[in-house]
Amino acid sequence: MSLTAKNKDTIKSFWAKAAPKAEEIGTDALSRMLVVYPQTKTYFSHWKDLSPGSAPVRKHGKTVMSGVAEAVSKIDDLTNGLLTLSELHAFQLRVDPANFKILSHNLLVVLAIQFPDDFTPEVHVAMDKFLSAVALALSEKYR
Amino acid sequence: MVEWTDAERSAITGLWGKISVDEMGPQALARLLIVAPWTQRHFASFGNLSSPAAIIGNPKVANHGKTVMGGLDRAVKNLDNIKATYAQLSVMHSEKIHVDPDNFRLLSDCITVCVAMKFGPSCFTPDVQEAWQKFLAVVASALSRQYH
Repeated sequence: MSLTAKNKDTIKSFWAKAAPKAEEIGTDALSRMLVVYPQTKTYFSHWKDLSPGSAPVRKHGKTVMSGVAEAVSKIDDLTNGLLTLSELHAFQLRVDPANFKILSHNLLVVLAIQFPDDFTPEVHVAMDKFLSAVALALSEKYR
Repeated sequence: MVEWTDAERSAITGLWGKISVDEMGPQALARLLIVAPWTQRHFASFGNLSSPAAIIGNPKVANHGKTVMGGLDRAVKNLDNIKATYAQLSVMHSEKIHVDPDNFRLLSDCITVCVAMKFGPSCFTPDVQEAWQKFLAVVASALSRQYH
């Protein structure tokens, strides 16, 4: 299920609209993930406050979204482009890759909330494919 | 037995009370067929599904969307007994329609996106999303129950 040229165009133009709100999107997606999928909290036991919109959640939302921005810029070769991030997730963070799907779902929900007029089914499928491709690239170094 | 908090019950019934099945059913089903095109395998008799525009404009898709989403009404009205309420529907989905249960999760996610778009951040808060997704997961589990 690789990204077509049309998918990439759709993704880049939608991302141009979303990028100015990246921090808000990242914060909201992470907040929702922690509430709706409480098992994901196990990765953040070192945070003082896991409630929606808290300072650590906000800071981490920003970090995650800059990763997404990097992925958009390297959309033509995600595997190589995200190698360092893959090593981070595989060897240090050791996030179970099943969680990439969970975060992706919450990102899509937040994008739908923030852009109800732009998040058409075509944009939805392109973004879903993109986030799946990013997840795959992040899983590259796991084993 | 699924346990619902009072907050979850009121989130679910509150949302359901504001949802128009006739409006959202078609949207959610069309979105499923576009975002996960392999689900079109069940709809060969529906005519033109060749593009997002064709799917969105297809009257059979719209009608079926209303049917499917309307099915959630019984679950909302029987929150403490969804498993039994859906026993027949589960057999039907397994034995007659042969739906891969993973498709229930896919449709649930599409419904959630439609609900999020409709109600926005002040209504569809993280807590409401939690309750809503828990509800859909229970429905999906009930529908998967009679598979063998």
